[in-house]
Amino acid sequence: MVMKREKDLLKKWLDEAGREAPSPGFSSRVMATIQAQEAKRSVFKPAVSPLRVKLAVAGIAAFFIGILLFAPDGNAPEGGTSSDNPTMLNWLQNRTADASQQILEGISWPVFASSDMAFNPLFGYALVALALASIFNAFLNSQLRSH
Amino acid sequence: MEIDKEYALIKETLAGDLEAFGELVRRYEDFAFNLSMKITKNREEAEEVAQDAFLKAYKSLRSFRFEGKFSAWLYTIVYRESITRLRRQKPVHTNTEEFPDNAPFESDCENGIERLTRNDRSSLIHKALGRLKPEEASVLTLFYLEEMTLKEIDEITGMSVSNVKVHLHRGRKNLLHIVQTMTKAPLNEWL
Repeated sequence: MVMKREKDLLKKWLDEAGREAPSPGFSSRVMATIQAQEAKRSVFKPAVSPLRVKLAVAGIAAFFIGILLFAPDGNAPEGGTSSDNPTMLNWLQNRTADASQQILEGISWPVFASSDMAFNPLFGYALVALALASIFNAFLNSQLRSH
Repeated sequence: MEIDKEYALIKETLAGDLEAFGELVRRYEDFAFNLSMKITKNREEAEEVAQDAFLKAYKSLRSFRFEGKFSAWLYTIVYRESITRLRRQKPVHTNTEEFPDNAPFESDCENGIERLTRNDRSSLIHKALGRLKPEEASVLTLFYLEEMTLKEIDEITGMSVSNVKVHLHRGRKNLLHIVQTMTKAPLNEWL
């Protein structure tokens, strides 16, 4: 058993030995690292929460996609219905066929024809539904995180 | 450092005054480094751990409850960082020593150590602490040097109070015998 005298001796020696010190300038290095991290963090500080940023971006995206997909086709004959226009599927099939021919001839960008841009409204509805689902998902995630 | 001054510095830091945290770092740098050194047993590692601990303390300062000592809170972070670092290292042969419980501490040895200069004695004690197991060295440091209670040590290390007592007992016994062994060897072997 360690005697009381030995405990006192240890206490005296440990007190006397004191603490070992880090190399000079240690505190400055710590503060420089903290300052560097603070500066990095202050580069982008959104005023709104990430959820609000997501909602705003999704809303703006849905708006523009809606305009793109549902804008009336200026080249379509008056009184014509959407079924008179080539559907998105047809358009994709045509483009795929064109592209495969072009690959054989060499690489070139397909020519964009604006008259082909009368999309099937169902495709547009699906995209808007996807955008709304992503908004709802972002909202649910934020609720789960806060609990 | 009185607790009110400590709390004031923490509040100033939380209000955005980085210089206030700099004051805390300067006050506790030896404190953090010394504990880390007892566990990692390597100066470079200990400095890295102490630096990481201060960064972590700064980031989680909002979670500090103004109930206890900042030093105890900081020590908890340093201790955990050091232990994590130690576990991440590849297992290496540690030069720690274990002595039988009934081995007596010779009074000749005590006299010999007392005759050393203060600097030589301090160097001997630091070297002897370096040969103890990390848990024993840290518990001895916290208890004798930082004058923490068994309960505080239990909170810092996550050991139970009875476990702290066991490490304290073994640490004392092993340290005394390491010192004894070292003083029997020629002086130039440990100085």
